[in-house]
Parts: sequence; structure tokens; C-alpha cells
Amino acid sequence: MEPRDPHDVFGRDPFEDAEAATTPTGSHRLHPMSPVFEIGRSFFSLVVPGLVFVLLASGDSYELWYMLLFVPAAAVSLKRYLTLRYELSDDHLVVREGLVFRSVRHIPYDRIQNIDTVQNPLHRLLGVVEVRVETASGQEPEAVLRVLSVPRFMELRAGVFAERDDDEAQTPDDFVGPRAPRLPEPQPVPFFRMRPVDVVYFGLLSQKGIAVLSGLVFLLWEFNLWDRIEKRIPIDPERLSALFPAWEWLVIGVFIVALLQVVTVAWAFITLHDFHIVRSKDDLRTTCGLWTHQTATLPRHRIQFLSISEGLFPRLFGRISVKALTAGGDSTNDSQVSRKWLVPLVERAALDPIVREIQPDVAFTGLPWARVHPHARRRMIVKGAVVALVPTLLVARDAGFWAVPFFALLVLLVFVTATKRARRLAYAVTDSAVYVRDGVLTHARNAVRFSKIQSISLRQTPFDRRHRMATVSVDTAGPGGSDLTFRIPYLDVRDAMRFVRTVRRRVERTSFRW
Amino acid sequence: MRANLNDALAHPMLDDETSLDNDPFADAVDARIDGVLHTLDPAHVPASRLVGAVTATVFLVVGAIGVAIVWFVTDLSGGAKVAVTVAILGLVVFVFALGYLWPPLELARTSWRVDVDGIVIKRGVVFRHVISIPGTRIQHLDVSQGPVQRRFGLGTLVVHTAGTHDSEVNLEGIAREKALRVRDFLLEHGPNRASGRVRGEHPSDGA
Repeated sequence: MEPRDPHDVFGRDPFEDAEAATTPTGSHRLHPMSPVFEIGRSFFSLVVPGLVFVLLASGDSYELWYMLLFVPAAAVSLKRYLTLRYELSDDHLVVREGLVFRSVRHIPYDRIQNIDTVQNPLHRLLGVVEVRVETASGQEPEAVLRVLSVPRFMELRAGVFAERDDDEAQTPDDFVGPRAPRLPEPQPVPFFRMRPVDVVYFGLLSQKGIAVLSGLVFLLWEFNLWDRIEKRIPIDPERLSALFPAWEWLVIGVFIVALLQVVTVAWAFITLHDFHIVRSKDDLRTTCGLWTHQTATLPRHRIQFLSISEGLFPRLFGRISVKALTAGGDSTNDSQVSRKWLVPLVERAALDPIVREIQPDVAFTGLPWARVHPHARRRMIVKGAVVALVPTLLVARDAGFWAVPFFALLVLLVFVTATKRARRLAYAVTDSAVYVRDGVLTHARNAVRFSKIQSISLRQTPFDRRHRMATVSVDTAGPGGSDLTFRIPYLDVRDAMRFVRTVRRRVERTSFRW
Repeated sequence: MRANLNDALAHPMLDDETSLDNDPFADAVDARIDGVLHTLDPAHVPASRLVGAVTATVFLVVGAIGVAIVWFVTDLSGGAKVAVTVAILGLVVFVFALGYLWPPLELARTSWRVDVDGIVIKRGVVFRHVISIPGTRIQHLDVSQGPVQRRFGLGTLVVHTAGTHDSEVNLEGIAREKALRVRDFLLEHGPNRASGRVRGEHPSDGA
């Protein structure tokens, strides 16, 4: 397809490829229902707040003026639908867009980190899906296709990842070690399915009910409904407390807390309904959601950082969570549950086979854990005690003598946590990856494969120097806003040097492919 | 694996025994894949002192304005005026002293090495930092030169990786010629080497 005008770098006119849209290799438009969703979005963000205000509150407000913005927003949406074309070329996803200012975006398949989809009930009714394509370029998705028909999405996913599967199969150094995958046949059976009891636990641990309820209270307050409710129930608190004895207030309190738990668990069941992960060749595909279906397609070899963590309460129940980071997208975005947690919660006993599916050459059990410096605990205690001096001085100013037991209590706390942490802190180097475990309340174990390490650092503070210790860390590519770091503090400086040298050699022998 | 770890000990990367106060590699003509530690260019000291002097002068001017305001505009007591003046003066003297004394320490505490496994940069006067970037992980390289550096023939080698925390690592204060040669070497042997991609012409001197 030659550009007609040699000066038109964008090639053919976007309005002129009706025939091309019918062939699978040509360019495709968005689904005809796309404007509904695009306009719907503007409607909900611009018009609905205004309407709510008109119905519930009096007086003029900026929300009313916002409603006017709906017209240009809808026009932009319509323009987007009319001009957007995407095309699956041999090794690129090409997205063309624009009427006056045109853009052509070439996204090489082997740079695509993951493809996420969202399907709410309306999407499902119309058989369409919203698709996000992410590369490692930043927090915003590289391409958002709102919306595609389901067959078109399947075609896109197959097109993008089919090319890559063959390519990656030839990469001997990406997965190393005895458990190197032989690319088994596609296996449609989920290797992880979240059990309902874990959904309940997850809900209880997340305590989303509080957020929902406080949101509700905020709305009531915002629209002055609170006052109306108070007027409807003309009982002032003093008479109310005289009305009921104390134990009845206790019952009411318990009832509210119980209600919160119900809301919270219901929320978990709605978002995490039928959470499961399937592996198809090298792709991990997670699916979840009762009304709004979310899927995430995550190539295994794109995982830069694997972390398993056991919070205090999950640990009591013997439950564990798995987090897998790719370099794509924004890790602070909560809307995609499966991006935040690859495995939200699972029994500890069931972890090993799941990790093996996620990363064949990573295992969190049976590792040759090595300890940090034997004086690590002492340094943690000293450091903690010095930090504890600050609140102690504040207490001393106001409460005088009471600062002494206060300080003693803090130091006891520091002593206990330092002892626990020093016992926990360890690292391991295997043939394929480096590991670290740390944490007092939340136990975390992180793994980074050699092929994903970008640089290795060794740092020494003056205190480290005095105690002949050092901190080593490895840097990986990661999503925007991620706070996960691979760091081993309080190492004996000789061990630290060995670590840097060994890892540096191993890393140089592997190649990095995003 | 254990053996590997032990032989690593033979090449300490961060020990105080290996003094770098003098440049043992001053006559190493080709700063390429020699696997030895290089110090910064000695010209880094006057260049840094010049930058320090400019910074300190800015402090001096701002400080002088501050002193003038204290004495002629505010109505503080005489003692307070003297105290503020002494504090400002102390700060200016401190900045001057730091600008003069810090660069030699920096020179003594910074070293770098290019070998088959990539580049290692070691620096830090108070807080020590050794960073090792394997050659295959280098995304791209820059050589930049500021106005002061230009005067002294110095340059900064900037190594970019795909990482998050250390995605850009600067090696400041080496001779520009050296920086260019190291860049060319790393371009040739670093990025995409292991992934088997053939590099075309590697960029020549961008100046």
C-alpha cells in the first residue's frame, strides 16, 4: 500500500480504506458501538454530577457549567471513533488517529508488555471489550482501543503474541536452569483459581467497606441530605442516649461493624468473582469480576520482579499473595485487581506449583538462604533507640518523668522487632535469580531473575563503613509508581562484594528483552 | 557456585586498602577494556573548584544583600544584627571552603573500570556507592559537556539503562576524549550484543 502523496507520511487517507477493513490483515476500525462508550464516559464524568446537583441541591454550582463541556467532549469522542484505525502488520501494531493533527503509532509486538481488557455488563450485552495495550514507555497505556468486538480482540491478542511466542521460544538464556520450559502445549485448565474462602479473607483484609460507607456519608453531607435526615428524626443525641441503655448502643455498634464486613465481603465477591489464571504457551491470562469482567494478558518472560508477601493477618490464616511486575502501565492504578496482585490470596501450601507456572525457574522454597552480618541486629537496635529518642523528648517536655517508662517501652519494641527482623533477613543466589526476604509484620520474599537485572549497586554509609557492612540492591525495569525494590541491607561488606561480582557476571551472560 | 564467589574475593571492589590518591593509570593510553580502575581526570579538581567558586560567589552576593537588609531595613537589636551577620558570613565561608576542599576528595574517591562485564563506577566521599552496569543492559550512552568542562577538556559519560532507580548513571569529570572512546567501546560491545542483533555503523563523534 503505497502512500499516494509522497509528502503524506501518514499514508492513505483514514477515510478511504473501507475495503481494507474487511480483510484480516488490513486496518480495522473500532466497533460501531464505540461512540456509545466514549460518549458515556463523558456523560458520567460531566453531566451526571450536574444532574445530581440539580435534583438534590439548590443554588447554582460549577457542576452545572461542567455540563456544557459535554458537547465538545462528545465531539472529540466521535472524531476518535471515526478516524481511529489499527492494523496488525507483521511485527507492529499500527494505530492511526486524527483528523487535523494525525498520528501514526507503531508498536512493535516484542515491546508490548501486556494487554488488559475491561468488560462491564453493557460491554458484554453488546459483545464488545475495552482493550489497553501497554509497553514499557510510561504510566499511560500505549494504545486504548475503546471498544472492540470480542472476536477482534481475540484476533489482536493472537496476532500480537503469536509472533512473539515463536520468537521467544528460541531464547535459551531467558529461562535458565534445570526447569527450563519446553513450551508445552497450550493448557486451557486454570492453574490457579481463587477459592471462595480466600475471597472472603481478601475482602475482610482489605476492609473496603469503610471506604464505601465513608463515600456514602460524604455524598449525604455534600448534598446537605444529612441535615434533612436529622430533621426527619427530631431526636437530639442527649435524649437518644437517655432513651436506650448503654448495652443497646453496643449492639448498634456491633451491628454497624458487622454491616461493614458484609459490604466488604460483598465487594470482594463482586470484583474477584471467579478469579483464575490460565497459561497459554508463555502468556498468563487472568480473568475476574462478576459484573465487570477484567482480563489481563501478561507474558511470563515480561515479568521483571516477582514478590510474594504474607501480611500479619494472612499469615495467621496461612495465606500468601503474589505480585508480578512488568514494565508496563502504572502500578498505583487500583482499578485492575489482577495487575496489583497476580494471585490475591492463596494457601501457603499451594504456592509452589503456582509460582512454577508463573516463572519456571523461580522457586521460593528450598533456597540456599545466606545470612546478613551477625551484628545486623545490634545496629537495628541502636538505630531504633536513637530514633525513639525523638518522641521521648517530646513526651519529656510535656510529661516529665513519664518519658522514662515511655522510652523503655519503645526500646523494648525496637528490641523485639530488631530480633525478629534480623532473624528473617536473608538473601539467596541461585543459577537463575537472586532472592531476598525481609519484613517484621509483613513477610516479603522478592525474586529478580538475572535476565531482568539492569544494574547492581553497593552502598555504604559512614556507619556501614564503621561496622564493615554494606547494602546491595539490584535495579530492574518496572511500572510507573512502583515502590518495590530489591535491597539487601546490613550485609558483611565482603559478602556484598561477592554478591555484586557474581551477579554482575551472571547478568552479563544473559540478554535482556524487556 | 561457591568457587565463583570465592574468586570474586580476589577482586575487591570496595576496600580502603587500595588507595586511589594517586592515579596509577595516568599513562594508560587507551581507556578501553583494560579492566583496571581509572580515576577521574586531574583537571576535574580545578573545573569543580571553578564551579564551586561561582556557586560561593552567588552565596556571597545573596548573603551581602541579606546583611544589608538586616542592617538598614529591619529594626532588630544590635546583638541580633551581629549574630545574623556572623551566621551569613559563616555560611559563605563554609560554601567557599567546601568548593575548594571537596573536589580533591571527590577525585580521590571516584574511580571507574570498564571490563568484559560492563562498567563499574565507584564514588562517594561520605556515602560510598559502587554501581555496576553490565554491558548488555546499556540502553544508550551520551557524552555531554558543560561550559566549564569545555574549558578544561572534560566531559560527562551518561549511561542509560532500562531500570527505574538508576536508569541514568553519570560519570562526570573524565577527559572528553576518554569518554568518547569508552562510549564507542561500550556501544560496540554492550547494547544488543547478546541478543545477537547486528549493529550497523556506530555513531561517530557527535561534537
